[in-house]
Amino acid sequence: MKCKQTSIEQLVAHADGELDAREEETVARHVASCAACAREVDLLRRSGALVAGMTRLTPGAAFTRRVVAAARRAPAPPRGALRRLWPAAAAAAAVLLAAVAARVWLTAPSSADAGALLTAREEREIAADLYVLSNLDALRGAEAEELISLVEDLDILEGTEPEVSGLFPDDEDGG
Amino acid sequence: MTANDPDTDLMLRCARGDESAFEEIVRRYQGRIASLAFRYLGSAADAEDVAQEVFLRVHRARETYEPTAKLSTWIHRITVNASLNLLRRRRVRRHLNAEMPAGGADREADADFEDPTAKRPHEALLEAELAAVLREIIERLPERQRTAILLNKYQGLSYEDTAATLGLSLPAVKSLLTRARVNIKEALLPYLTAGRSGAGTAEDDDA
Repeated sequence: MKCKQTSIEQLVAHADGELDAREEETVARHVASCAACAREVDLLRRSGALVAGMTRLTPGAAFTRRVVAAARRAPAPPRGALRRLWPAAAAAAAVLLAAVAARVWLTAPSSADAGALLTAREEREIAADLYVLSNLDALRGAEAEELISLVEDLDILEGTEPEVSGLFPDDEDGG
Repeated sequence: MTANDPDTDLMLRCARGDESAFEEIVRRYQGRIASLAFRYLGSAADAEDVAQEVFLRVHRARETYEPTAKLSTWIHRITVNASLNLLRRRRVRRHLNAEMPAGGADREADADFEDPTAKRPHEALLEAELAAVLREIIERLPERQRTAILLNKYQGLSYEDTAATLGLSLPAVKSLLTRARVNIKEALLPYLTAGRSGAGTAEDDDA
């Protein structure tokens, strides 16, 4: 940015209409009199509009029917049982996680290219998935896939703060 | 914040076993959810599978649903998680199977970019190229930036709802979005300034 009177963050929020009234007034007044900032806002708006306009899928009535039918077939979740089981399952998973992760790591191709595709943390998560998938039946006699889904939903069901690291295992942003 | 969420009532009806309410939720969200998944996966078939899985999870969780967060926030979070999980599993498969070509996400579903009606040839070409560049820059954004920009600009969530969906603070989301927007703008600069006088000079942003 050439102009030092506003921050790029302010210009983005201004372009998005996300500034509070007071800040908006200040920034808008400046943009109106600064060619560099006006150009920046224009570019931000137009590139933002392109993102908004990217192709979309439009699943139709057939999709709706398929989902509703699948939901009807699905058994009701065993809530109480799951909650009692979960700490035990987590503890058991933790014990074997390291071993499985080590194996995944050891058997992974060693080329730099392939290595870059998967971080250690992702490997651990996958290892956890593999473990849960292959052992849950033994643990509880439930359908493994369903139980995993339920476990993944737990943080939301319990109303706790979402675990951000679950969404983003590695911060690649570099600040 | 949930008091004015128009979906809360729908979800509560769903929790009481009202199947028509569930159907309404699916109908209301299926386009947005499938589209968001599509942006991660690049395949319409995979995106619909993820969308179905998202709705089945909502259905399974209906009885324990507590309106502490907006339904849309919750559904978007599940979608991002499910899409990223599938992407990671794909990477593992590619990892284990060296024969698989790099950049293996199938692109055929985006082919509809290539039939813009009644456009002059070079204009259509430029548009297809722009669409491809845009897809690529978004694909290459760091995961957090990509998710933030997709939620905010593609899905139309406010900064506040984007932050709630990601479980991040508002300042953190503003910062992510700013970096994403600058990256996208820079990558698209030649296209944004094409045909305009004095165009094409890239600026150095300190973002």
